[in-house]
Amino acid sequence: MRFFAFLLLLFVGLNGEPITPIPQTIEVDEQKVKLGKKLFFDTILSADNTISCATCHDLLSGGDDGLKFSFGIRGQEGDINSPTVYNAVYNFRQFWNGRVENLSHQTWGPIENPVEMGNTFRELITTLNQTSYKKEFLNIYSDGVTKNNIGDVIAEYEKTLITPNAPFDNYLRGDKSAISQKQKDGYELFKTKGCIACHHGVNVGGNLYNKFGVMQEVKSKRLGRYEVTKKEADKYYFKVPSLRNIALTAPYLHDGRYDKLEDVVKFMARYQLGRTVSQDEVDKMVSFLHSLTGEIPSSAHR
Amino acid sequence: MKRVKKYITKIDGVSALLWIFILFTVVLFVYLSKINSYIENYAMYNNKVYQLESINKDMNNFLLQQASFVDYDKINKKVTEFYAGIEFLNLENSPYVFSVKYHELVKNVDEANREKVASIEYFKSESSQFLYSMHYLYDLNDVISKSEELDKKSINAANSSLLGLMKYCVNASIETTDIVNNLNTLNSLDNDYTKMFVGHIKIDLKRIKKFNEIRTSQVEDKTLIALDRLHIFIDKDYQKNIFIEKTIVAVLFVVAFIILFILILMNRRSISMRDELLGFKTAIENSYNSIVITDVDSNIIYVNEIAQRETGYSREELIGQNPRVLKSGLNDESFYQELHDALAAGKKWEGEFINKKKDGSLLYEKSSIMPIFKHGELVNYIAIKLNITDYIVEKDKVKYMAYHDALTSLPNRLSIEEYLKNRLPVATRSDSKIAILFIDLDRFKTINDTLGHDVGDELLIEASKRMRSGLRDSDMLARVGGDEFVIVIESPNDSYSAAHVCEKIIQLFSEPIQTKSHLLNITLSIGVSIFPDDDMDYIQLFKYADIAMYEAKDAGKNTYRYYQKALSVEAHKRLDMEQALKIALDNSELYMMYQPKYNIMNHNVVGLEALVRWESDKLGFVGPDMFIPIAEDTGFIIEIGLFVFEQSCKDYLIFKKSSKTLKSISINISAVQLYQDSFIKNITAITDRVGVSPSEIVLEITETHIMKNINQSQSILKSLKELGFIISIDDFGTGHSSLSYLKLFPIDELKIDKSFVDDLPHDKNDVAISKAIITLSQSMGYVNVAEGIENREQELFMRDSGCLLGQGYYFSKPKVKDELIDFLKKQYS
Repeated sequence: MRFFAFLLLLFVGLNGEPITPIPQTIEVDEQKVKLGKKLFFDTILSADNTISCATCHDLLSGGDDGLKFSFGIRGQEGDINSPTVYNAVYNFRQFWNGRVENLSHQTWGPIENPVEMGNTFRELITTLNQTSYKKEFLNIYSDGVTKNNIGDVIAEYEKTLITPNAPFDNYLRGDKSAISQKQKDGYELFKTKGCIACHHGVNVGGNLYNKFGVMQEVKSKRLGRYEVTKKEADKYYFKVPSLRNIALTAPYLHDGRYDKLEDVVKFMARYQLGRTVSQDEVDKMVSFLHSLTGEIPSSAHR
Repeated sequence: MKRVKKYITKIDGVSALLWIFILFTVVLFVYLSKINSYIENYAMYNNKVYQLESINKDMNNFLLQQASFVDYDKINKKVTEFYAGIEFLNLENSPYVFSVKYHELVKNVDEANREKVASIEYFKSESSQFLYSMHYLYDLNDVISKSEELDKKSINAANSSLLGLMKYCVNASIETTDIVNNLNTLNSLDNDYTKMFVGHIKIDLKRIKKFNEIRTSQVEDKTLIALDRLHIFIDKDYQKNIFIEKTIVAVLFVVAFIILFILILMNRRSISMRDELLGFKTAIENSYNSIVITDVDSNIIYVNEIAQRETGYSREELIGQNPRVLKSGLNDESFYQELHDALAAGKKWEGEFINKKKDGSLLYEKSSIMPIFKHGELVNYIAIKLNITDYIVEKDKVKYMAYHDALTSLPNRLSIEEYLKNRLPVATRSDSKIAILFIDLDRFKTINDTLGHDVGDELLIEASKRMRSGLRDSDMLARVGGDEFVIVIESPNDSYSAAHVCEKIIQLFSEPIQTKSHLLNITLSIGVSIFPDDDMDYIQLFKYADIAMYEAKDAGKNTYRYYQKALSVEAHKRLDMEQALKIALDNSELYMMYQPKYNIMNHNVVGLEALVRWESDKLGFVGPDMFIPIAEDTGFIIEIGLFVFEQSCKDYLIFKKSSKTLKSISINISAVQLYQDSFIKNITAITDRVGVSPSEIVLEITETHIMKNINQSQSILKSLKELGFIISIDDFGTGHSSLSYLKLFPIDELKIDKSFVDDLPHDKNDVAISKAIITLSQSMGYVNVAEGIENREQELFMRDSGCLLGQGYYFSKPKVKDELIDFLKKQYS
C-alpha cells in the first residue's frame, strides 16, 4: 500500500500548502478609491435612488446581505444569492456563472439589472453630471463620467475590500497557535477528503468552475455557465465560491438553500465528493472554516 | 518687404547649403530616432508575442497535468496575463493601429486563446473532480481491502481497478478493459462500498476519456499558430519598415554627405579666394593709386594706404564720410553733374579731380570711378585715383616756360601771340584800340659780341626791368627775340598814347645801365602798329611794328616810328632779306668769287680778293652791298665771315698751284668781326688747320669801321700784325676820317676806292685825290691797290701815278673757283 500512499502525495501537491494567505495590503489609486467608495454607498446609482451597492453588500456583516435572495428597487426579489464583495478581487471571474472577467465590469451588472438597481448608464451619467460627481470624475478622468470610469472607480474601491489576517492565514504564516487543534484536524480532513481540489489558492476557491452535483444530480433553477455559453456541457457549472469569511456569509450556495455550514459541508460531501463523512469530521471541518474569517478593512467603514 | 528681399538676396550659396545641411542632419537625426523608437517598439511587441507564446506553453503544460494537485490561482494568473497581453496588443497607440491584418491576427490569437481557456476551465473542473475522486477511491480501497465481508477476489479486483486507474496518473498506458472486467466482478457484489467504488471508477474513466478529448482538441495548438502568424507579420512589417527607413536614412546620409562635400569644396574655394583676395588687398594697399570704396550711399568704407597719405586724412577720419569732404570747389558743378550722371547710368567715369588735402593744399587726381554691381544690384562704388599734382605743377611750369622767357621772366613771343589772339576780339567788340610797340636795343649785338653774353644777358635783364618800370600793370611786356621786346598797350588814349609810352621808355634809357663790370649806354628803336587801324591780324601787326622799328633805326636809332604803309616797301625788302639770310649758309646759297689783284707793270697775278656772293633761292641774286650791312646788323656776319675766311684759305692753296706769282689772298673783314673777342683765335685756328701762313693773308678792313673805335681797332690790328697778317684798308677815302689817324694803325696796304678810279683820268678832283693817296702811301710805306680799273686809260694812269697793283674788269672780273684756275693756267701757259 505504500505505492498508494506515494500517489496520494502527488495529489495533494508537494509544493507547500495549497492555501495562500491574503496579502496585508494591496496597491490602489487612492483618489479613485475615494470616489468609488462614495459611489458604493450612494443610492444615486439606482433608478429610484433607493438602492446602493452597500444595500446588498453590507460590509459590516460579511459583505453580503444575509438573505437567500436580495431585493432590488421597488421591492423586487432576485433569484440568486448575493456573494460577498470581500476579496472579490481575488476571484478569477465575477458572478456565480462567471460571466465577467473583472470587478469593473461586474459593477455594470447590478446597475442595469432591472430587478436590482434598474438603471441605465445613459440616465445614470446624466444624473451624475448634474451633481458634484461631474467635477470629481473630471478631476480623475479627462472624459469625465462614463460607464467605464464608473466601473473603474467602484472596482478600485472594491480592491481595498480584502480581509487579511484570518487566524488560518496567521497559522500559514507560521503562528502555529493561531488556530485550535480541532481546526488543524479540520484542515487535514479538508485536504484528505478532497475539498482542497476545488477550494484552494488565496481565496480558498473562486478560481475554477465546477458542476453543482457531481456524483448525484441536484435540483437547481439556475443553470450556471450554461446561461453564458449555452453549451450543454456547461449546464450546472458554477464558479466555485471562495470560503473566505464563510462563517459570516450565510445563507449558502447560489440559491441560499442552507443556513448552516454543517449542512453545506454534508451536502458538498455527498453531492460533490460522492462520499460519506462522519459528524465528527464535519464538526472539525466547520471549525476549520471558521478560522478563515479575516479582519474587516478600515475602508469598509463609512 | 524690400528689406526682406534684400535680406534674402544676401543669403549666399554657402549659407543656403549650410542650412540645407543642418536641415538634412536634423531630418536624419529625427529619422534615426524614429528608427530607434521603431526598433524599441518592435522589440516590445516582439517580446509581448514571445511572452504570450511562453504563457501559451505554460497553458499547454497545464493541460498535460496528470491529475496531480495544481493551485489554479497560478493558471488563472497565466490566463489573466494572456488577456492583458492581448489587451496590450490591441492598444490604440500600437504602431499597427491602421493594419487590419494585424488586428485580425491578434483577434485570431485571442479567439484561439479563449478556446484554449475554455478547455482549461473544463480541464480544471474535471481535474479537480478526478483528484478528489481518487482521494475517495484510495480511502474506499482501504476500507474494501480491510472488509471481512468481501472475498479476496473482490478485494483484488478493487485493488487492480484502482491500480489500473492510477497508471493513468503516472502517464502509463491505461488498460480500460481490465479495469472494466474488474469492475464487473465488483458490480455483482451487494456492498455499499464496492458500489461507491465502482461508481467512482466508472465516472473517473469517463473523465480520463474527457481529458483525452480535451488534449486531442489541443493537439493542434491554434494559439501557437496564430501567435506565429502574428510574429511573422510583425517581423515582416519590421523588416519592411526598417528597410524603408534604412533606405531613407541612407539617402539622407548620402545627400548630407554630398552637401558636406560641396561645402568642403566651397570652403576650399573660398579659402583660395580669400588668399587671392588677400593678394588683391595687399596689391591695393600698396598700390600707387589711391583706392577708395564707398557704399551705395557714397559713404566711404575703405581707403588704402596711399589714399591716406595723399589726402592727409587718416583712415578713421575718412571711413563713413562722403568723398565730398575732399572737394576743393575748383571743379565746377557741371563736372560733378557729369560724374553723377555717368554713375547713375551705371557707367564708369573718368576725369581729373582737383581736391583739397587736409592741410588745404590742392591735390590733382586723375580718377576713374565705377559702380560695382552684385547680382544686378548696385552695392559699391570704387574710385581709383592717381595723384598727378606733381605732373600738373610740372606741366604748369613747362607751360610757364613755354610762355615765358627764361632770362627775363617776361612773356615770350608765343605768350604775346596768345595774348593778342585773345585780346584782339575783345578790343573789336569794345571798339577799342591796341597799340603794339616793337622795341629793339640798338647795337646790342655788338655789345653781346664784344663784351660777352654774360654782359649781354645782364643788360637784357636790366633793360627789361627798366621798360617794365615805365609801364602800367595792364600793359603787356614781352621779350620776343634776342634784343627785341614787344609792348602791348590796350585802349591807348590821349593821356597814355603809344607815342607817350615810346618817349617815356626812350627817356628811361638815357641813363646808362650799370652791369657788374660795365657802364653801358644803350638806346632803343621802337616801331608802333595800331590795331585795328593798321591791320586786324596780329601777325601783320607784329610785322608792321617791326618794319616801323627799322624805320626808326634808319632814322638814326634811339627814336620811334609809327607804321606807315607807304614807307614799308623798303623795310619789307630788308625784312625779307634778313629772313632769307638766316638760312643762306645752311642752304649753301653763299659762294665765293675771286678777283685777281695784278701787277700793273707785268700783269702778273700777285693776289686775289675773296668776294662773297649770295644766290638766294627766294630772292635771287643779292648784291653784297645789299646783304652785308644786314648781315652786320643782325650779326650773321660773324658766321659768314668765318665761312668766307676758311673757304678762301682752302681755295687759295689750290690756286697757288696754278700760279707762281700768286703771293696772297685778300679777305674782307667786317668791323663786327674785328671787334669780336674770339676773332683772332678763330682765324688763326683756320690758318693753322688749313695750312696757310698769315703772311699770305691780307685782311681788308673798311676805313670807316676802324675809325669808330680807334683805341680798340688799334690794339686788335696790332695783334693781327704781330701774328703776320697783312693789313689792308679798304675803300680808302670814302670816310670822313682824318688821314692823321692812319699812322696809328699798322697798315700794309691802302686800296683806292673804285669811286675815285671810275672817272679817271678825266675828273680832276679824282685825279688829285688819287695822286694824293698814292703819294701819302709811298711816304707811309703802304702798298697801293687801285680798284675798279676798267680800261687801259685807267690802268696807265695808275702805272704812271706810281700805283703798282690794280684790280678791275679790265684785267679780270671776279671769277668762280674753276674759272679762275683756268684763267691762272692760261696766264702761265
